[in-house]
Amino acid sequence: MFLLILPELVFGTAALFFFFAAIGKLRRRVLQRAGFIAALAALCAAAWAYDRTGMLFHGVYTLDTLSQCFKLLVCAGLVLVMWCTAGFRGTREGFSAEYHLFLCLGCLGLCCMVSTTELITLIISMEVASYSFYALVPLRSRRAEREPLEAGIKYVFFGGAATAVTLYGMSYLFGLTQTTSLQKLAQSLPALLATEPLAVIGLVLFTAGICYKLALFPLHYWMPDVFVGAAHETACVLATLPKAAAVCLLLRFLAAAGAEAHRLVLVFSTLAVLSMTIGNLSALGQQDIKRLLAYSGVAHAGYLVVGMLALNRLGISAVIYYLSGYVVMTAGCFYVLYRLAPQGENITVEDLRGLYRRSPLLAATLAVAASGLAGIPPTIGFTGKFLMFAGALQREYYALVAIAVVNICIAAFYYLRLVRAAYSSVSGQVERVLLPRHATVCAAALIAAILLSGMLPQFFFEKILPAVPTLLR
Amino acid sequence: MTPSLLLQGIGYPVLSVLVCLPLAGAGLALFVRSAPAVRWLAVAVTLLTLGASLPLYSSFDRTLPGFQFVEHRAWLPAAQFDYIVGVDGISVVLVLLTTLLMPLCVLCSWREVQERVQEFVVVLLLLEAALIGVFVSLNIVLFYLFWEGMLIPLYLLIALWGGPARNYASVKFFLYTFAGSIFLLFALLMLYVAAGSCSMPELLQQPLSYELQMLVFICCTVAFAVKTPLYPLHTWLPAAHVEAPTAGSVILAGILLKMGGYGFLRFCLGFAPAATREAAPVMMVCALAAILIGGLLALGQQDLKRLVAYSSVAHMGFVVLGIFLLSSRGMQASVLQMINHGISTGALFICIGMLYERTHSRLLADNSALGALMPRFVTLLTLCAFSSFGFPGTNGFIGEFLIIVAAFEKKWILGAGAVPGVLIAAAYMLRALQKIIWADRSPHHHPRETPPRMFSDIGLREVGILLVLVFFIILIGLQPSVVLDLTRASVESLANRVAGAGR
Amino acid sequence: MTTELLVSHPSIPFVVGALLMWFVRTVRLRQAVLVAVPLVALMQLSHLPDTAGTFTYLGLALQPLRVDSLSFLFLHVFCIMALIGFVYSLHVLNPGTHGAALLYVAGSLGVTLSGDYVTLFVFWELMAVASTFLIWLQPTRTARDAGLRYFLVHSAGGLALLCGIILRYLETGDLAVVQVVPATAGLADYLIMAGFMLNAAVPPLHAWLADAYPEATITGAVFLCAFTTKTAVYALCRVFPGFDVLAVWGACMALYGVCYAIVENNSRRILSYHIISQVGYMVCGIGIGTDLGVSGACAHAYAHIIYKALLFMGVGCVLEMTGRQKLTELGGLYRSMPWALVFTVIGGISISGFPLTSGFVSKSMVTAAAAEAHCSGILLLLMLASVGTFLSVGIKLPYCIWFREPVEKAPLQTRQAPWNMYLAMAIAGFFCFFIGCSPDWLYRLLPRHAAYHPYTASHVSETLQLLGFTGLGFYLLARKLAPHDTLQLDLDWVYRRAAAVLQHWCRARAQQYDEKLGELYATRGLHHFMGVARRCATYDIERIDRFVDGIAQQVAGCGERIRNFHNGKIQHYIGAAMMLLFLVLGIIVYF
Repeated sequence: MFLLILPELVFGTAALFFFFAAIGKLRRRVLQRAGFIAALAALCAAAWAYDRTGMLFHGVYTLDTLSQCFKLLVCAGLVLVMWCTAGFRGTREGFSAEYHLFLCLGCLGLCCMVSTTELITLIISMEVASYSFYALVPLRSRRAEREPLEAGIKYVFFGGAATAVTLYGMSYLFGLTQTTSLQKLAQSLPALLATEPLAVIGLVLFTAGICYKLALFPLHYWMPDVFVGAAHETACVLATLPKAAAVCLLLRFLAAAGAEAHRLVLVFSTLAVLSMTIGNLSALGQQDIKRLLAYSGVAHAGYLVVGMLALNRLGISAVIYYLSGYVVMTAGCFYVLYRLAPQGENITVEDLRGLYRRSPLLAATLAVAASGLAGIPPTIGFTGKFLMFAGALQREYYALVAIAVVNICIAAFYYLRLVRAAYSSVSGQVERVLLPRHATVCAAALIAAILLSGMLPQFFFEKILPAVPTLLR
Repeated sequence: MTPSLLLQGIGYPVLSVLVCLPLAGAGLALFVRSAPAVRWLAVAVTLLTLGASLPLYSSFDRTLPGFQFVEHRAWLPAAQFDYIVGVDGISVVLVLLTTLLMPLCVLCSWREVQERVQEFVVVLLLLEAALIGVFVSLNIVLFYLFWEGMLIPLYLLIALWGGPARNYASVKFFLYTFAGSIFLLFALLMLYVAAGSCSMPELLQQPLSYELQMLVFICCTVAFAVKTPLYPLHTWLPAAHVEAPTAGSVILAGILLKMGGYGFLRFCLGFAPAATREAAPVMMVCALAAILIGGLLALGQQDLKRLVAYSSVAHMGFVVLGIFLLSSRGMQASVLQMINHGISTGALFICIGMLYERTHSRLLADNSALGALMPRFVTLLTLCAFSSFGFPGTNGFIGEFLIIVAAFEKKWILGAGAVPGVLIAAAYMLRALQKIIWADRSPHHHPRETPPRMFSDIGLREVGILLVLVFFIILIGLQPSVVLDLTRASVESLANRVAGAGR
Repeated sequence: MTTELLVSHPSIPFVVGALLMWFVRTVRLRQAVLVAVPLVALMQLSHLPDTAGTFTYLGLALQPLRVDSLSFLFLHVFCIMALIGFVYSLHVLNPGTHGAALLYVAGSLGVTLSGDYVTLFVFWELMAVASTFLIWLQPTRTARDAGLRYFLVHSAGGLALLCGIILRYLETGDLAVVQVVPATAGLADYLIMAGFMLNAAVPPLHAWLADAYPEATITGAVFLCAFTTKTAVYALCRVFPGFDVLAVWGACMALYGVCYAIVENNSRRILSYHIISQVGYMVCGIGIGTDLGVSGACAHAYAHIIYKALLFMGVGCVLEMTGRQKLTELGGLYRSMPWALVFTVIGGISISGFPLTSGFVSKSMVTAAAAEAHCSGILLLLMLASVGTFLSVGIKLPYCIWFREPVEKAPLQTRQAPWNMYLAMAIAGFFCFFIGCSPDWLYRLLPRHAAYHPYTASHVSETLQLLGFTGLGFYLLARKLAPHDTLQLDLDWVYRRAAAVLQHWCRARAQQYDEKLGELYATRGLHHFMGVARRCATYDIERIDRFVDGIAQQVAGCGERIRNFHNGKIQHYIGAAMMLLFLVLGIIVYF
């Protein structure tokens, strides 16, 4: 019975273990090994629990295929991130135990987020995730600089504001519907949204917290600064895992509201358009790669929302598919950054010059990941975007898709800048980047994943499709 | 689809093999370190591909208008994607052109490319796979996949092995064509959503509403007009050509531009016939502008590569004109002209590459008075140039002649508009030729001695490369039916489709 | 069919010879080839199949080997001319010249033999390109520009021809080169006629000739003067006999050319203008269209090819030796180059139609035809033209080159010309007299049977009078030209007036007009064309390219501006976020 929440349990025990480890004095390697093992265990648990569904805690906690699917995604993402940034050189010396503790807690929170169907629990689990991630940001090895702390502060404050708005919106919803359970909301919301503007406002405000995690405009301001301040490892985690959970929640709410809620759709499509456009435009001029990735993350939030608004079989499955692809591609970029910065310093586009000669493998990884994010075939980035937009077109959101497509074109420019810098020739002798074996394997795996998942999507869709009907009643 | 259709004609899935061979070669090249070995590997792979493509010519059924050698496998049933490849008369000749030109590309950069040979070969083979893929794929998503998959390799080809201004040129090329392809993506999305299927044969079955057709037509036209390139969307071409290495130029002019013409035939005429008929006049005007202005532009150039680049604009203008005459004769001539342009312009770029290896300059002024120094070279160059401006007896003449005939058939003013293009073409080609072969001397009758220059005439390899192309120039010039027979059936059915389409 | 074609088509040996020129390296062997090729062609002529074999190509019925008496006449003279020309140019070492010349001859033979317009067009273009190279082989800038202009004009003519052919094909559906009845002629036919007339240098489409031929290589000019215009004459003769417009035009053309020839100084340009004038006779004959007229045109073409070549050879000989072709720069060469003088004078008297020369028996046919057709105006024009002809070529040219004292006293360095030049001239000269003495040999070749006997007393005396008085006239002019001349002749004022008026008219009116035309053609045409091209190029880069790049830069700048909202202040962030969120909500929910 409780085996249904095996992933959560694994994360919980792991958190407990690291809590005690923080008191004791364990060597850093051991802790990292432990963390990786924990993540793997969680992944196995999630895989095992994949097609096991049920209800727990009086219907507060729903374990449907959707939640299990996203749990799998979160755990897989965690494993991938840990693999890409193996060694956590950028995090502060001597705080490894705490770092892993908060990591596991955060993932626990995310796993809860994706499976709660009750607003209070939802907020609690969201806060669990948020607070543990807040704590991660300052833990950066470069103590001398004040960015990490500043970033942490910004993250906290901005998150706090978002939560406040969320609670405000929730009060509206509760006031209108006298319920906090998503199932009941789903019955009454569509009618309300059609008649009652307040319901729209409430729902949108409630989703502010989710949009904050998703870094959707206008709740994206924190992202660039936090990324620049945080260590590469942390930034990688923040860029991928919370987004996944947020997508799941947003899907649930949009599905509950139904696709006929025109005002709501209008709001979200506006947000999506602004998010895409502003994200891409601001990314154009960036020099710091983490900033650039942050803005591209904002833009991708917009793309994902376009897919979600479709709310049909194709659109939703494509969103999940693309999301997993996004996790891999972003992890790929951060992997390159991490490998290029032995002391965890920030990398600018200029630093990439001649990367091709320093390490062909890294350059190739960057090229594949960047062209994936740019949506160039045959990567998953292209297939995912294509299917998402096709789904949106099935709902006849022509203008939305057109704008998104134009945005892809703009975005191509800054992704191309990365590739160009990596492959631009430099004169003189350059020092080669030495990669440990597991890192080489990781790079190969990333490239293979991005390309193969793009070329042979069928396998993923078989896994994803069962998760869709839970949303489309 | 039935297994009889799969593996039809010959005993093995020839098209998939054609796509996979270069890919495999590229994979193999990753593990070959020494430059000579990897060069020979490239030659072997491209020749193997050429050999594998010959059955297409021999056992292609000239009487059938439809797709042949079709292979049909499940790819993404969840979204009704299938892996479908096949060729009809239009695409088969382009595939053959590709497989013919690629070995020459490898050979002509034998001495030019000295550093990063391994990567060069990998990029080249990837390009070949993508090019063949574009022409054989019958699934629009697969088509787009190859279409875009070509961008990064070609971008790298220009950016890594290009000339001094390669950064500007390569980025311009990438963004320009990417922007174009984005429109194509949108059009494909609409087609897919409207028809619920990605396979071209099925799309050809389903009639689309006129509005949708117009939308699809406009988007496709932008994409293909950039690729073709159609005036005034051509400015990426000269930049890219001038900076690209010889092989890059050959691929660009020889094959890549044909993707534009192919796209027009396959998408605009195929899926949006009614809209095409509505919009044909506009396209014809653009084509005429391309013919005339492109020619004038070429006449104004001092840089040989720029000259040939602009001449391609003019020639592709002829192709587009022929296509949008919407008559079977015109389309057939256009397909023929695409092949001709691929061969003769490719040859010209190879010649310029050979010059550049010797004089290290592409300016006309620096390459004058070579007639005495390099007789073999100038002889072959003259032949290629003549075929390029459509001198009777060469392939270029047949193509342009047929297009002009078709234009006169449609409306005499069109033909009259196109004819000066031929004149201008002769002008710029002969101007360049005269400067290359003879120098201008001071105007008194006893020629002064020019200071001797140390070149060798072109060697066996280079003569061989050019002879292959010259052979086809003459062959098609004298016996165009080798191409026309292949294309006739498909083109006529397409022309009937367009003629039968109404609002 | 194909094999027969390869065996018996006279163009084939010339094409083969051209190829050999590229590959054979030893000079002697090349010379042997050069002589052998025309002989082979002549042999082929005697075994030409008289049935016109057709074969289809691209669905068009082609007829590359149609022989009848008309084409045979031209083939015959072309082959002889080729022989003479190649003998004349044996000493030239550059194989390019020979290759171009061979291809050029091959082209004109092909045109003459082609029974359908597609074949005709193909060989027509071959001629255009080969002749262009003949001009370009003279390595001077002036030659290059002239050659480019020459080619542009000719491809323009070729394209007019092509348009005509296509239109004709679309109208009638057949491509056979057949006679057109003036009544039924349409746009297509007139386009074709324009194409032909351009090659025949019919004014105002004549400027290319006087522009290009003086720039050509010495041997090149010999070929050029023979083939391009005569091929066009053949084509007109084949398709457009009996078009009155041609008759009038031709007569004017005959006088027109002469006028400029009289006042021209450059010896080869004088001869070029005479080509125009003589071709005028032929065009006129064709236009008259009677049997006599057409046969006269053909006969005159036959004779003209040879003596005009002889003249060009003589002048070319001088040019080869002295490097000069301006009359004012020459003079007093009779000691050093007597043979050149003799042969040039032979050419001169033939062109001016002395009895016993070829000009006499051929030119008079045209005039007779004009008289027979009662076109007195045309007759008068032709008479005037023949006066001017004799004046300029028969007397002035030899006088100025050989007899008059050179203007600057510096002695011209002269070597003996190579033997082959003299041999060639001798052959030509022989033909001039041979035809003149036994005209029936020529008349037997003529396509249409026309009973005509040149040696009637009236005709001979008439001609002699005309020429004699012209000669006297020249003395007067010579006095005018060279005032220090001590000749004092009291002459009848009529001739003086006539000659003076003629001179005056030429100088005052016509010359300036022709100069305008020539200038328009030479400088304006090409330069403005290139100017337009360059402007296009700049526009392309300045406007279109800038525009495209500008868009990209605008987008980038936009990004910069938006990026600057991120100023790093958390309070601004939160404020902005909330404000925007509520803004969006407000706008959408309440409007």
